[in-house]
Amino acid sequence: RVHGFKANDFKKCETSSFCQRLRDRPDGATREIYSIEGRWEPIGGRGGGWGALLAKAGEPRPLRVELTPYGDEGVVRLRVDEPAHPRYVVPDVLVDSLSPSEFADVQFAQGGGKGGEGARTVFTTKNPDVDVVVTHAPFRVAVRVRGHETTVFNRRSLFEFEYKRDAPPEGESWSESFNSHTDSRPNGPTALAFDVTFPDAEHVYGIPERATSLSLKETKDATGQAVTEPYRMYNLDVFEYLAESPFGLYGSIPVMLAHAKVNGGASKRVFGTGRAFSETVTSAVYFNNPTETYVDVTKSHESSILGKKVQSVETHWMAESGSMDVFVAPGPTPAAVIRQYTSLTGTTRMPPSFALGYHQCRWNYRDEKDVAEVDAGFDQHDIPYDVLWLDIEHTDGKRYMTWDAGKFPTPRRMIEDVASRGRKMVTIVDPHVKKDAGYPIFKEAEAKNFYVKKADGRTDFDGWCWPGSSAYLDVTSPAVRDWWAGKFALDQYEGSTKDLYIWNDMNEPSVFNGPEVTMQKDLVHAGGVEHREVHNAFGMYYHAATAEGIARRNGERPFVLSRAFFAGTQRIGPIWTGDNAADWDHLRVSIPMVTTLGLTGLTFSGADVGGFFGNPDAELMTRWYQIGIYYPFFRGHAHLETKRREPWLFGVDATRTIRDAIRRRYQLMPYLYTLFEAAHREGSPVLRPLWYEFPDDPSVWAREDAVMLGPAILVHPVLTQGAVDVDVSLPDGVWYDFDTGEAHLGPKRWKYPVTIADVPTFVRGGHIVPRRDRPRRSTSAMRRDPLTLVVAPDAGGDAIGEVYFDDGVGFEHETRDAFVRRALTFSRHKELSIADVSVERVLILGAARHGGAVVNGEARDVVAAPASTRDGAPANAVAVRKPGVRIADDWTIALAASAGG
Amino acid sequence: GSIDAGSRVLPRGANPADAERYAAHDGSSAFVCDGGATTIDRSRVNDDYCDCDDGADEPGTSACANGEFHCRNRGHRSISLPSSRVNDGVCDCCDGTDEHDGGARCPNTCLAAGASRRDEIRARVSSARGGVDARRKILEGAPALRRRWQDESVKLEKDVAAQREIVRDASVAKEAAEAEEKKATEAEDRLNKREASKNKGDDDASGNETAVADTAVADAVPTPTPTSTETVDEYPVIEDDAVPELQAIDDVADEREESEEERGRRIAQQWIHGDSESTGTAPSGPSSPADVPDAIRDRATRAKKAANDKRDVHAQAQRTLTELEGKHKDVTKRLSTFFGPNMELAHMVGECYKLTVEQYAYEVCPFGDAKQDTTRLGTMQPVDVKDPRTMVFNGGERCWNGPARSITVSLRCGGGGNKLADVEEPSRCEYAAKLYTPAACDPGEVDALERELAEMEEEARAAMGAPHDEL
Repeated sequence: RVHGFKANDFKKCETSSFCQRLRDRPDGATREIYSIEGRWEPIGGRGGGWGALLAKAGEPRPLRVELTPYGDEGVVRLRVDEPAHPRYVVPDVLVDSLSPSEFADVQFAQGGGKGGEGARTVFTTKNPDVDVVVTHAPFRVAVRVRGHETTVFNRRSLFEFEYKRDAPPEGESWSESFNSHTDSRPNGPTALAFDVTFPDAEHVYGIPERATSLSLKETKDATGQAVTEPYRMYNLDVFEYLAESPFGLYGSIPVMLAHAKVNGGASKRVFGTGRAFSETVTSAVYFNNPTETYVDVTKSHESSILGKKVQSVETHWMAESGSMDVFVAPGPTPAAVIRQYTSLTGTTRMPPSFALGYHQCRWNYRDEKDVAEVDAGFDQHDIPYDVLWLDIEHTDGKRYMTWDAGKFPTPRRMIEDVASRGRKMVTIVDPHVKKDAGYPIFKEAEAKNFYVKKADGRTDFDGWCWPGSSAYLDVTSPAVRDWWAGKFALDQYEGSTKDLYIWNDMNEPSVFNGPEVTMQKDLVHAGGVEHREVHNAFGMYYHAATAEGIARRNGERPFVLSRAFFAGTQRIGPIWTGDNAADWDHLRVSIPMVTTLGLTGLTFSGADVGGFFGNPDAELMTRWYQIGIYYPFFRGHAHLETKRREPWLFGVDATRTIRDAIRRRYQLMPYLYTLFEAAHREGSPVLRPLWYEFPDDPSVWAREDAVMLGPAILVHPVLTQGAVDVDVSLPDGVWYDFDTGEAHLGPKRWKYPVTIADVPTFVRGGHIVPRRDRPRRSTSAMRRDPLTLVVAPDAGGDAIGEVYFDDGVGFEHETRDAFVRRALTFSRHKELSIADVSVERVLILGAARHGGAVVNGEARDVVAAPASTRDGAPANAVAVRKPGVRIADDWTIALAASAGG
Repeated sequence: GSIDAGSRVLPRGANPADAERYAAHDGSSAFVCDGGATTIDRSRVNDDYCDCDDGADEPGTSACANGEFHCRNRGHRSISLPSSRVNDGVCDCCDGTDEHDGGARCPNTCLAAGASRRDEIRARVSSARGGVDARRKILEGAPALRRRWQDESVKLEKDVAAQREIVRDASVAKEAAEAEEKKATEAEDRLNKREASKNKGDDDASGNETAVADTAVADAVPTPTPTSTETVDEYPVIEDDAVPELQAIDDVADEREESEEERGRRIAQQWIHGDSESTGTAPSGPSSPADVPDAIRDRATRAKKAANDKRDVHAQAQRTLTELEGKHKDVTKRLSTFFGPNMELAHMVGECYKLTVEQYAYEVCPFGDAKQDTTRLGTMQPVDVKDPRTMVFNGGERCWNGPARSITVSLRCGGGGNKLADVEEPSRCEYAAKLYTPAACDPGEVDALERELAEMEEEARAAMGAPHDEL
């Protein structure tokens, strides 16, 4: 299959003037140029921030640098701006409630050297483990965790800030051309660059979205030689993107995590395991700037005095405009880093429970009859699903929020019919508006002057998209967003019901005839803001307005899928990884893509199951479902020109295997929902790379062949054609085979034989997983089912878990605390103990003998666990039969001694 | 009745057909399932916990993943559901019995649903009965159709043989005419060249040039007589006004109703064999040297025309042969084609069925091609012996960036003649349609449908007669 990606349609660093100016500078390029002038002073009336002047040699007007603490975990913000021409700072990205905290202490130390050389100021945060050392000349900022430098700015002296100028030099022009497009650049060059070094780090992660490895490869080697293009963040609609490329895709989150060894990288051996562990610290930087940004990554090797090789990762950030505005999340754990980052840009919005079910999409379900047949097909084949989607063809000529009268004459009836079985529908709504005087939305927005303007600032911009010539709503304006949200009212959007939800596509924005398939950078938004200043956030504003509209309808949780995204999108809704292809490479790369998004706060994401372009065979389709069930957002989708691929169209065997996979998704729904609540509360990712759970195990730092669903389930997906076995590698601890209950003591590595029906999946010792084992047709159909608690004891015989429930629909979990969150504990010793939903059974893994159980003083049976899902495999577990307890109550189950062994 | 007596002891959701299984024997409290492998206490039947791998202990709850729930649906039809539909908030049984935990209110709609279902089946039965009658006629006609094809085959075989003779004769005549045409045109070429060189060089022309021209002419003529070559050298330039004379010769020939071929041969012979043969007998033939160029041109014109005519005759004969051979091949192929176990599809040969959906006109010709407007959707593949109710047309025009078009036509029982219906495009360029035809009416199925209807009507009468029956 030949991919359609056309590299020449897109810019590279060398065809972007700012990147070309900034990239290939040697270390130390600005060493003698930037320095702190005078002393740091508290910023008046603004809480705990401190400011100073940052002098640029040869420039009479100094820059302004500010250092501001947030919260009490040691998060700091480093911002450099030009006081005479304050740069644009993107609004509505940081959470409204964010306000600075205080530094616990600020100490200035006069250096011994002449001319103030060696002068430094140390800011201690409210977290006593975290301080910030600012060296005045040359300007350098180091964040330290327990004295260990984790995040160092300008160590390589690559900081650069281009002052705004009034006019180009005589005879020169600021304009810049690419292909047939010219960017007039009326404000001239205003780029900036900075370097961030992560000492002792071997791996950095983040800066989505791109189809590449989890651990970011270096783009420049240690000698400064370019290996590839730098990583680019510029939201683009990339047709048939490649499965391995540093190229940036539909969304950008300028967050990079680094994972470093502390104590000089010394590792210790843990007795009895034969495995080396390293004490580690994870930290992250967030660059709060939505302009086009390139990042170079270099991995350097230095020899320390002890002769050991110490590695660090050096990064070089180059942005076209805006200010240098960087937040540092000091960690020290991966969970802490994400909690700290999401305290700035928000956590995952609590999704409605149906959103975690399976979504069936296609470009396009043709008509109402097709919709009815596909819906019925799921019940006929006893495959659960929750949402049926309609792509652009459902509209009247790509006029969004209208219906093709021939194919969808009675949309309300259609939606109500699907909803009568507890399911939902989704229609697509894109940000381009067909220029058609007969289309009321177009006319109204035109009359209200709500469109993005051409460079002249007055004429409405028009670009080409699905409907042909289109105008683009200027969603950077709160007034436009408010108006747009109103269009989703049930009495505004004809044919909609409360069971209809929305999908926003093409919101990078995609402009077919624009430079790099998007808007010209010199277009003008509300308030005279140039498009270049806000590009990467544009799609998020549109997404936010749509979600706001859905939330306003009836006070229920909105669900709106987006393709474009930026930092903060997690508090609006899910995204998917765009137009992938039906091949094994795209299947494989979906895993690092989704886990990377989770590490950068946007955990509610998934790749199109089956691959958008092309036709998957039964094997690829089956394998894709088997991993797709673990994508936080789980949707099958297909291009207009592909063969039909509803899950029952690949033969009887494949149908059974796919049904089993989708049922497992639903079986794990209580666990999954609990993980989403944790993501909502503290940002933690639902699907995690192994290193998130095992940060001190160097062997997993770059692994992407297996993933963790929350803390308790490890999945080794089968990602190669014709696989007969999988190289399984389990980290330290006790692991139980999900299918058979068989126990394994990690670290352990072996070839796990597989048939098409098998995916090596393990429950981690020490955890309790809540499940619902009754296969149902949808999430709503299972909302009153009893639970099965799977207890997986660790080597010491203990296990803990959590289960969270609320109504899955509204906001009463927030407004009236209408939720249940239970901590579950199990202990083999002591009393051998372990909330309106009852518990059906408690499944205890790694126990084979039957004994009795006493639940709240009443005797209960302990029986063999239900037959394993794998034929012939023993069920290495026992079940406490009908303990008769409610999950909302306090209770204990005491097992007779024979059960524990 | 006995069913009612059984239902009193039947656990919720159990199928009456399994009454024996759930009946208590000898006062035992044991319930046996999994083919005897598992025995549990009867108190555990329908206690909302799955104890049997075969799901038999929980017919009335959702506890067993593989269980079945039976709805009586009095007044309609009883059905079995996967137990996952029990208490899932969706009313699946028209009698509402699948939702018994109060989570969903499911009114009993069986009488109304049953009535409308019975009407629907009645209509289907009525149509299918007509279809079965029509099918009988089709089947009755099949042997005759086959005989007709066999006769046709025999006749066509003869016709083909006869036509082959005609083609052969036409071929001989054509070759002779073409031989003459060749000679005559070569002579004309020679003349033209000679005249051209004379014109060009006139008296100044060098002997060399003339010699070259002569040689060229000589080379071009396979059997030139010395006389004719010399004579040609002497010919005067033909002026434009000489043309009417040539025309006149033709006219004269036409008047005498001489055929084109005869004339061609005659003139050719006159010229070539003029001295020795029939010079004297040609009334308007060239009789003096001054007439010779005209005669050459006249001869060439006639020869070309004659050859064209013979070619046309031959081509026409060949076409007719090809056509006959094609027909013969068709009928031979038809005689060995599978038209369904009872040849019930044979009557569709040569027929086309049309349907217009939105702006597209679809045409399906069984055992031929299918089209959407002028776009070919495919050629019909042989009917699968195992699936004689599906016609697959594939290898149609390719879609841009997509597959070759195809259409799958499903045959459905219909009483009112053959009708194309429900044309759809489930995947890009992969079409599907239904063809309602009596040929797809199975008398056994119709009988079964009638029996089902009778049972439903019986049951409806019972349900309406006994409104207080347990529902």
